[in-house]
Amino acid sequence: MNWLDELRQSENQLVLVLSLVVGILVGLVTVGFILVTGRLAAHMYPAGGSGWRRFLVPVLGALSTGFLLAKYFPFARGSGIPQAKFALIVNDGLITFRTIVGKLLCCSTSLASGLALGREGPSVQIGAGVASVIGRNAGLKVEQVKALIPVGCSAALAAAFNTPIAAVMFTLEEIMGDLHATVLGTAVLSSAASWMVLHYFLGDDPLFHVPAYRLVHPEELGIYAVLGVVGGLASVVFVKLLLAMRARFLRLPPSTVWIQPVVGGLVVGLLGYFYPDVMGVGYNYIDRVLNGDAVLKMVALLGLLKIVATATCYASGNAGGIFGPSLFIGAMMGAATGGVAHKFFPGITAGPGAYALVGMGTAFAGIIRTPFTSVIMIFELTRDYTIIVPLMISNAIAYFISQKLQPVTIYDALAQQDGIHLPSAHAHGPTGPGNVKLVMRPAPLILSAQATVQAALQEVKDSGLEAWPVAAQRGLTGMVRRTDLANALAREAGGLTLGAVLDDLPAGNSASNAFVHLHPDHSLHLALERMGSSGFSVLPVVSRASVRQLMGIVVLDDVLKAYGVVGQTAVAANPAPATGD
Amino acid sequence: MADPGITLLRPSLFRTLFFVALAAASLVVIDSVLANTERKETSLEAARFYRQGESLMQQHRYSEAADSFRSAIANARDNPDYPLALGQALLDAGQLDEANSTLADLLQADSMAGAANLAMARVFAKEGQFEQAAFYYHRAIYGQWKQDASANQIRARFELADLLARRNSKAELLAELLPLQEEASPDPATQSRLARLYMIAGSPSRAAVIFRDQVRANLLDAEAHRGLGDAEFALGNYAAAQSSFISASRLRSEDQDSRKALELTDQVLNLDPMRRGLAGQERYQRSIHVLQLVVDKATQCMTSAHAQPAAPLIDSARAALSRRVPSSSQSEAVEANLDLANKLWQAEKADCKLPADEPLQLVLAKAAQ
Repeated sequence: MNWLDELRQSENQLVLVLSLVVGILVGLVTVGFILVTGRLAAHMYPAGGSGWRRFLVPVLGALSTGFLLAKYFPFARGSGIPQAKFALIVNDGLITFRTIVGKLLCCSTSLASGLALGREGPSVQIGAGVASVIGRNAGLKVEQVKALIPVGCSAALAAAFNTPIAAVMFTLEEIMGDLHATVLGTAVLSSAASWMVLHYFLGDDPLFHVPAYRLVHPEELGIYAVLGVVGGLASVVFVKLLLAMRARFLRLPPSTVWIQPVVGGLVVGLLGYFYPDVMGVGYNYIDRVLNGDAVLKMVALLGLLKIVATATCYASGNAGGIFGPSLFIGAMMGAATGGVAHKFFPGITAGPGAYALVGMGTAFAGIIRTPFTSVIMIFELTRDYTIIVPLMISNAIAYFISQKLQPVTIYDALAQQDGIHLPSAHAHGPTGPGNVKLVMRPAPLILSAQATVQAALQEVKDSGLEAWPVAAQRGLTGMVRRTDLANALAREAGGLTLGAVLDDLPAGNSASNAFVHLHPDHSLHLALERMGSSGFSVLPVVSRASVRQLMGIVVLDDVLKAYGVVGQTAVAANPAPATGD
Repeated sequence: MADPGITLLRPSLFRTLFFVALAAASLVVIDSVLANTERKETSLEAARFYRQGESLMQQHRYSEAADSFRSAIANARDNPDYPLALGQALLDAGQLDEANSTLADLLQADSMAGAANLAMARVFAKEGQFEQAAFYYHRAIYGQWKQDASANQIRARFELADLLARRNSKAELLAELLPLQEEASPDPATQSRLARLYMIAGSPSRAAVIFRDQVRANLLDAEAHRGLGDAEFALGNYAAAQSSFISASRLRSEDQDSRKALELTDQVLNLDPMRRGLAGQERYQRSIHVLQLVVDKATQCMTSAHAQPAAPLIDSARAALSRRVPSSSQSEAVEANLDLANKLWQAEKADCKLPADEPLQLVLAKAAQ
């Protein structure tokens, strides 16, 4: 047992070995996941099977997985990437074995039944889960378990997408939110190990087989820029539609959760009955389009139908990701744009296949919002370097448009809809003298949302603060200021409840999760920024796991003291609030 | 105080590693079984699509066949027969760019694959890129074939020869025919095809040898008689050609081409002053007739630009035509008349175009030899 003795000498070596173990095991699990899904699909849709299957199977698939998800595996719903981020950032790296089993079972069934979702996001959660289970059972410290989460994510994506470099990039760019993260070495190790497992079982075939495309004429870059605009707009439409639909589903009674996924199954079933290529992740059809087999009207229609199908499937609570569908939408939009361009400028443009290739990256950059990963991923998926420059231009434009029209990324927005606030790049900005945790203090007084304005004024009479948290049965609902109470009294609304008062306040809408708040890991710089923009000198500090869970408050004076400035500073009244993370 | 590294390695680590190893071993077994099943089923599915594609090809439904072959490829990418079939279907469907790209991928994997090179050569030939086509035909001829290599190589060389014949590249064609003659099957159809190509390559003597052998082997072979007639005709052996054409016409009375060839041969023979067996008087009369025809042509079609320098020749010809030649000098006169006719013909050639199979042209050409 010499090697174990050596391991005792260094925690780093242990993490390194565990990274390799996680990489291999996640590779095996992911290969199994891919194969099981394929086998199930082959049985659900046998060769020469009749058309009614295309309607019935997705409905039954959604019904059965909907029941399982609601009853046994509530954390296996959706993509898996926000869940992996949640585990990493908020939940001390905890993903249960039950969630892994549920994700495998439900995703295999729903993807095989033809729902328009992808396998990559779920694989990431499964990979992170395997890492979490191994780390926790091996008795690692919380920080070490958390360090294994990106290792599992990287390994899963490398095997699910056959893109080992992009898997590492994605882990750093999206999961960690930091391209300089210290887990780079272990992520690379696990990605490589997992990729080798994939190749051992499934061979050395790229996901897509693409002819060698090249830039036909320098002026063609203009067309690729147009594709960037089209891809960016399509991405925004997809993200906004998905989020809007999901918000509606979330408002439905909790007792309907088990049946909601059927709506996705029905939509896919109906669309798939008439247009079978809308079903499933659609990689075979992408492959055909990439090889130039594209009819203009059909690819444009399929792109639009896929947006509707995937948004409905995801929003209704089915298990599956949006990676694969993003590529499909991008490829169809690209082929449509390329088809039109080639019709009008045949001398200076490549065929639709080249645009489909660039379109995939463009949609990925616009929807997932990881531009570096997108470029590397397209290169790895296709092993074609010659189209990289147009791809970069198109990606940058799509990313810019998407960022402008949909400031919150899709994964963060999805998490926010669940009351989870994950840190964004903005939250990692200038730190100032420290973070919110340093100056956070317990809330000395929490007002009830049911209390009247008069009663509240009585309660805060002796308080030295200018604002107080208001809580209802479901948790924190917002912050109310002394001036808000005084104004309500002046309007002869002293009998109103605080809940009703908050409804009228621009910065404190109790009906949503959008009140201004801070998280303990936020920088003091950001705290000052939010106080300035909201007009609150006191802000609540809430858990990242739930915005309703009050952890304390931050007072402006305390922040200024931390900066070395003592005394009260006037805060502008009622400017536009910033609630994001 | 305990080392924090040691606290990490509680018995739980051993237990975890044991279970991980167990899980990994189980997954290896499960994945292997699933992967094998997947490979078998996709391979069967691919074969089914391939057969479907072949059936569609036989029905000349090339685009649908291409779709079937694409599905076969999607199911089994490592089988080179499928992209080859797709390339051929796309070629037949007229989708040349896609065919080119499909076959290029195939050739990238194995540049000396005979069948792929042959298909690529056909694509370039159809695109009109003859140099590229010839390049791939050569690679097909010297490439590797899975089965029946010799027959396939001969087939490829014949296709190249046909291409060169269409391009009228005589020297290159002859260079292909010489090895082909050694390799090709002795069956009459192949030999006949070879001899025809020799004719196009400008080597009627080799063609005549082949046709003669065929006639010798089968006196009732009308095609061989006809071919031999053509070869003899090209060699200027009009009498022998006449005899072959007569045999061909007799054996295949409905053969209009042989009949026309026979008529032309008759016209040449009736005009030819050099024909064997003619009496001196007859030979002289024919030379006068030939000279008269040349002079008539000159007066009909010569432009003033060419007529001026040719005027002394025309005058000499007219003098020869009006001259009375005693029987004893007619033999020399025949030669002089034909010589004069040839010179005048050379002078008026620029203005007076005649079809290559015009009897006068043929007679003058033979006389000039």
